[in-house]
Amino acid sequence: MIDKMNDADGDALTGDDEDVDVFDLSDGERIPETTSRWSELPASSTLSVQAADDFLCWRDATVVAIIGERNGGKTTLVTELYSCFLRGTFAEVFFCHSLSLMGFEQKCFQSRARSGGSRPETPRTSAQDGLSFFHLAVAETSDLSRRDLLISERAGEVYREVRNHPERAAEMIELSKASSVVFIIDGERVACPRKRTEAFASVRHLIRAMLLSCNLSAQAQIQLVTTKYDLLEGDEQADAREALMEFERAIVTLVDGRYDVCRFDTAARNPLPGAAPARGLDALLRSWLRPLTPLSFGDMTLPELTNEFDRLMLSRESL
Amino acid sequence: MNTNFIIMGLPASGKTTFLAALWHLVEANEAECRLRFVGGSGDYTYLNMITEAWRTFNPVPRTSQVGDKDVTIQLMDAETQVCGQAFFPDLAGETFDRQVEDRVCKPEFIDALSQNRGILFFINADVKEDALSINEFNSRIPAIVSDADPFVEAESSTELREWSPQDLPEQVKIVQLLSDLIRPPFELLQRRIAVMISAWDLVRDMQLTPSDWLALHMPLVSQFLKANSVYFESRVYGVSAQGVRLEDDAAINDIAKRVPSQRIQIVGQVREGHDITEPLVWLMSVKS
Repeated sequence: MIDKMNDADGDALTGDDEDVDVFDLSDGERIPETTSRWSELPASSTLSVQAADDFLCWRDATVVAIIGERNGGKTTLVTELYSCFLRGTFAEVFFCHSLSLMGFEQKCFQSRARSGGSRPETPRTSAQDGLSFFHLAVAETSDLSRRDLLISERAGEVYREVRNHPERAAEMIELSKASSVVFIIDGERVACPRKRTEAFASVRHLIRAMLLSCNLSAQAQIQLVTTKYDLLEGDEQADAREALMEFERAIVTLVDGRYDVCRFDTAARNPLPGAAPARGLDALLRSWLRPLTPLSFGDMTLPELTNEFDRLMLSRESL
Repeated sequence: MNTNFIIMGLPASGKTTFLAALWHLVEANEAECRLRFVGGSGDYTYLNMITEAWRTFNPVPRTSQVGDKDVTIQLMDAETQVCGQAFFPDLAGETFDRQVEDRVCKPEFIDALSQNRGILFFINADVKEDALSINEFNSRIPAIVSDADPFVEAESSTELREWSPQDLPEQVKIVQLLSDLIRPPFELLQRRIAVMISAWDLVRDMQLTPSDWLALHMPLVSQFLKANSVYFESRVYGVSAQGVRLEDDAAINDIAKRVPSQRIQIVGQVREGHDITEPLVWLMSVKS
């Protein structure tokens, strides 16, 4: 487990190859397990539903649900957002904390030069992994106020099932908890005339299933996020862009004012030389950080209140 | 006065060279410094061993078979005349690697941090571009090579690797180490942390302050410290404890004629000098 820097770094102060920090052990020279006890630390992978629930008991957080079929760029969107903070402040916020650093890094690795790959990739999320969450806390650069985000991570195959069986949307707990529900529109498929209609149908079916389930918080915002938007640029893609706008207008009509709908064009990982990374992700992140109006009790499904003490809670709102 | 410290840092981050230079500085009494060694009995074997190597321009000997070392130095503040026993429980850099990669740490480390000791956190200025993206890498390939399809060439010459926790970029490892301190089993305290950018002589020509260097080369660490000021009161220093490249004979011959303490350089927010006890004084001034 020794960092391979040992062989190259040498002395920390001079760069000398021979003068190595005496506290550092060479490869294979790990201190034997018998010499000391070790205490376990909390994992740093993506949060399970239980871990996310525990977290919400401890600290307020905004839940963002990322919805879409496979290969649309759901995970890439999130990992590239995280990667922005490795380069500096982003969207006028500082990176503040993450309980899932290892989870982010695991998903980022195939986009890094160290992986040995020649094209950036994002490992597929397996349906067997179920639902998990990335945790990202940021702080405003202006006043250091902190906001925590729990961003859902679920395999696209599961959402395909929801298309086929819309009633299953009721089981998607990320929908019920989310204040931002991101529907991924795969820009690559939109750019291809033969795949465009099906790409739109996928999103429309998922939104319809969600509306059918009535599983969405009253304060949720529906976000139509087109990924790989770099593929939709240029005169030759004018028809695609027009079709996309027409589709977005159709979704607004479908939602019929029940939820706020907004749109974002993103290119998280534009491979063209000189292209800025994470295009459009700043506006998207800011939207996730928008202040939320506290829910009225009238908007919540409450259990039967059986005693006066519980009912006091309701009277608070009338004051 | 809180005279107990924690020294943290990944492997090869300059922890030992700092200790060697510190021991020489406070003991030799040949240059101005705020903290002085006041003598007393004790076991100085280890300190003398590493400092001998430092004084004679030899590589600091490896102590991989020795394991962790506790270093104790009796010090007096030259301004206040207050005496105290400075205690540095040193953990191998490998221990911090394990904390990040295997998610384990030593119980003694947790105990030590529960006493709100000042933290000296070492970061080597000789950073690698270990978070470079494939797109960034490809954009650096000259255009003539790019036209020849760099993807195909690269695919044929490199081997794809599976991810392991060892692949975490250094700044992410550091943020993980610091993040661990603000959740159980560590006690939630406001701590003072002196971030020591070692091998500062390598980056001095950049004309950056240590804080600016951190923001530029370890932006995640810099952001984390700024955003978590409620947990970490931080100062960033640039430290050059060795003062010369050990393979540069001419430079060694030149510098050997000078007072050894003048090899040591430290750059703070507003001033620079030879007194590497400055961050210790700041850490010690916290109320325990």
